[in-house]
Amino acid sequence: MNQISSSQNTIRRQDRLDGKRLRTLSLRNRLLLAFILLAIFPVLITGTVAGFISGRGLTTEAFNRLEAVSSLKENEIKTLLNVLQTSLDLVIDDQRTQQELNSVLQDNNAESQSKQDIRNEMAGFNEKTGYFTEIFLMDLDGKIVVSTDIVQEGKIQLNQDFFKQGLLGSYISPPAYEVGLSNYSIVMTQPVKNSSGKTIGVLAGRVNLSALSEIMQVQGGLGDTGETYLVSANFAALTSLRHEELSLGETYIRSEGVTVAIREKTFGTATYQNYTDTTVIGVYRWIPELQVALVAESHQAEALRTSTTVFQTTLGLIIVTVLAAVILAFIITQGITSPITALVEVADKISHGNLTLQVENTQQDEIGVLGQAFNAMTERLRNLIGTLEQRVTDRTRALTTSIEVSRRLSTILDQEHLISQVVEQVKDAFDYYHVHIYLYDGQTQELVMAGGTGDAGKAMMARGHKIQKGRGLVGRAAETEQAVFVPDTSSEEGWLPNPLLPETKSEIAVPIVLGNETLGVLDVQQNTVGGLKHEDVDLLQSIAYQVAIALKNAQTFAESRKQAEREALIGEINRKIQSTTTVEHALQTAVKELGIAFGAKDSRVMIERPSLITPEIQDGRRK
Amino acid sequence: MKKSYLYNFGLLIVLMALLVSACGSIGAPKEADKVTVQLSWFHGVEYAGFYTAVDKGYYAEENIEVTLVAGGPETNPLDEVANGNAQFGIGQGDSLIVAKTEGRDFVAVATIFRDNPLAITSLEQDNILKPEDLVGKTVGAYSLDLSGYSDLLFLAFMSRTGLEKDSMQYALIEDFYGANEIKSGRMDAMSGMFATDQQVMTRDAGDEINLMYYKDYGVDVYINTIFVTGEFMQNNPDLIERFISATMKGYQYAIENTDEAAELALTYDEALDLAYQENVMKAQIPFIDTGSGPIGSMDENVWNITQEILLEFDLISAPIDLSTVYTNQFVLP
Repeated sequence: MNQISSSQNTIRRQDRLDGKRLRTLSLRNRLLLAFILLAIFPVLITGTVAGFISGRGLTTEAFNRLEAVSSLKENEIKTLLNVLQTSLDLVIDDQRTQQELNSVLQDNNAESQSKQDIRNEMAGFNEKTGYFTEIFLMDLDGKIVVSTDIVQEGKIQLNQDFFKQGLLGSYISPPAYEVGLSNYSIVMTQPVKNSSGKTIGVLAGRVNLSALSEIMQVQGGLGDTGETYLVSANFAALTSLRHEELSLGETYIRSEGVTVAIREKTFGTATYQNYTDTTVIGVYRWIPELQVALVAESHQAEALRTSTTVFQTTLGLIIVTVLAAVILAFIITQGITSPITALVEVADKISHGNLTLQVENTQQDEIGVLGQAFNAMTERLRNLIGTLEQRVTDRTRALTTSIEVSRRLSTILDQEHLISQVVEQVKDAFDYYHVHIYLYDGQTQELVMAGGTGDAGKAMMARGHKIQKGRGLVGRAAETEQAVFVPDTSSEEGWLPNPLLPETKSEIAVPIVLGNETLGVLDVQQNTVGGLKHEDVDLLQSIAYQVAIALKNAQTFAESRKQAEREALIGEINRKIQSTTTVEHALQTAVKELGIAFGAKDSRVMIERPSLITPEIQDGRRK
Repeated sequence: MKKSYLYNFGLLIVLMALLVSACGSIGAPKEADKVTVQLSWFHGVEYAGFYTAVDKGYYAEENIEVTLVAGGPETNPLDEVANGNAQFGIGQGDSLIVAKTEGRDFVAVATIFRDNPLAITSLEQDNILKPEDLVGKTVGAYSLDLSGYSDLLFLAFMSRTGLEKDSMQYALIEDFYGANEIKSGRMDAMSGMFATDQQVMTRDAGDEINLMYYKDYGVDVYINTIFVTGEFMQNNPDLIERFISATMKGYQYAIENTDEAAELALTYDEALDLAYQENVMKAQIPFIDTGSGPIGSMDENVWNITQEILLEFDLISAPIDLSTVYTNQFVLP
């Protein structure tokens, strides 16, 4: 037993060494894990895919929306610029202003009525449209001759691109920071020509940036976090920002969208970190007319809100599923593993030698079957071991008995006593119903009852029970010299019931044989069906053999005693004859003594006389 | 057949040469170029680009080791660069033209301020907005007769705006802090003031000022160009390009991170006031980055104006070829 369990341990250890970590988990934990994983995976995969797909869709949608918005605003800006350009044309449209412009530009130093008129004209226009913050006129030296803002008059713009380009044609300056104005400004210029078509000055309008700002501020289609803003080519923000205070001239934006738009002067879409380091979905475009980047951005979180909801729902589902799975798995696993664990425990105890344990089993499934098989197995083991012990005990007792019987028999030389002892001892020792012995009479070919147990035995003895050789069980045993075994008499054909032994249900007849001589039959009967077994046959055969030897001894003893008696008688007769004195007396004594010895009624001696033909008969009759 | 064999052989040689040169460049890092910069004045955020380029490792990236030497009233950056104590100097555009006429060969390779920040300041309440408003007023100057070099641009301003010298009275500026001289009544306006720090100082003192910029009236002179000797430029164009690139990157960072720039200035002179330095840094952003053209780059017109002023006031006798005094070739767009 010890050896088996130690080899099992070796196998288990081997498993542990070979197996992966998972194998070290108990069956229950593995099942639990499998259940939970099975529950999570589909939800996780479905949720992720759904979230991913919806996220992608939403991102595309957000891009499209921002693209539409930014495109719209770009168009608005271009339209505004066109309108501004046109309106600047209108400032010097009429004849009178044209003439006054000429005179002012020719003689620009003195304050004149013409200057005043132009100033008024321009201011009036400006008030009406609000397109410009300042409209001014420069002479060929770049000096501001007239301006709606008098302070600006006299300033020299010779270095400014808007002046140089304005001499050549219509021009819009990109936004540049004007320290004098503490602001960015976009200046729109166009040449002023006299009647002969010669350029005599430049008319300029400082664009009202609030118009641009307004365009950018319109929130239509931008959602809760969306915004559009303009960034100058030097990365400085030009219009107000939604998520940060704009400090004009000091706020620089270098997000990916802005950088790409400015560096590559191109249109594009991307997801990147904006100026507050928030991840945004951005659409950027370069507006060449103004040399600025137009950016439309929307927080990614907002765009992906729906897909975030999907993700959150998935997460919630996962949590709920996991909880449910854990509970269910726990119950189911418990149902599966606890009987197994019980089986394992029982098996373990059985392995330690406790065979009385039973698996308590109520299940109808494979585990139930396994439990039943287990119980059957332990029962058979138990029975096997039990009967084995019984058989060993029985055998030992039988052997002891047979030895005891032999020992006793060897000391008994009287046949009658011997037989009565044999039957009684065999019956007592093995608790048989009935035992008797028949002796075979070679002359009559009959088996004569020689001894039997109980009243039945006495009765049969008294009536001199005999069985013809070959008849019945006993006769067959004697004839075949083989043991005849009938486990169930009722099903045996030709079985002769004995009215004195009504309870007999099984019977064994064993021949008592020594060499080639059949001495008799030992017959044993039991009052239960199957009460006699093959073991009994073997046992009885061995006893029969001992009996045969003992019988032979007894017979030999009896014969030798007879011989001795006879010789003693002859000796006595001889002595008596010798003591006689006469022949006649001697003869008479011989006759008398022989008669006594032989038990004869009448005895006589006849003497043959040589002379006589007929012998004389001596009267020897006992009288 | 023979030709193709030769071709292959040639190819092999070229490839091996490439390999060797590649190994060389990888295996042995070139020693860093050591460069000294002579600043035009004491340490301050005006030089923030240099500080940042050092601190952020922009110079190291270009394999340059930079030493910054503060200037002062006793130091002439032109001399320092000429005698080789420094390779780069900070100096005014006009002084480079004058030097050229004296036979000293300096070339401006970039400028810190792309616009001249000098202005005539006056208290806001006095309403001096246009040059004509100065007529009859007392104007503060560096010399009473305006003969000093520092008054040159004021004279140029007068000539361009048509102001007569006699139409104003003059007073010597003794207190340069904010608008103290005006508030004390000694003068109505101060000429030749730096818009950048003057503005901050007066605001800090609780006063608002009006600024009349010289540059708005056609008087535009670069006041802090980065210059080298013509010889140095001839021999080290690559080093100059790397140096300017790193420096401008530094300025770009400084204007976008004024707080950091101010803190860095303090590491060079701990006596500086952090808040003041940051405000000055903010105030000079529009001069460094005007929004038109890359930072550091110079305009031919400004050089023309400078030369015209020098000619007008007889500081030089004849015009020179301005292309020998400045170049934008090292300023990357």
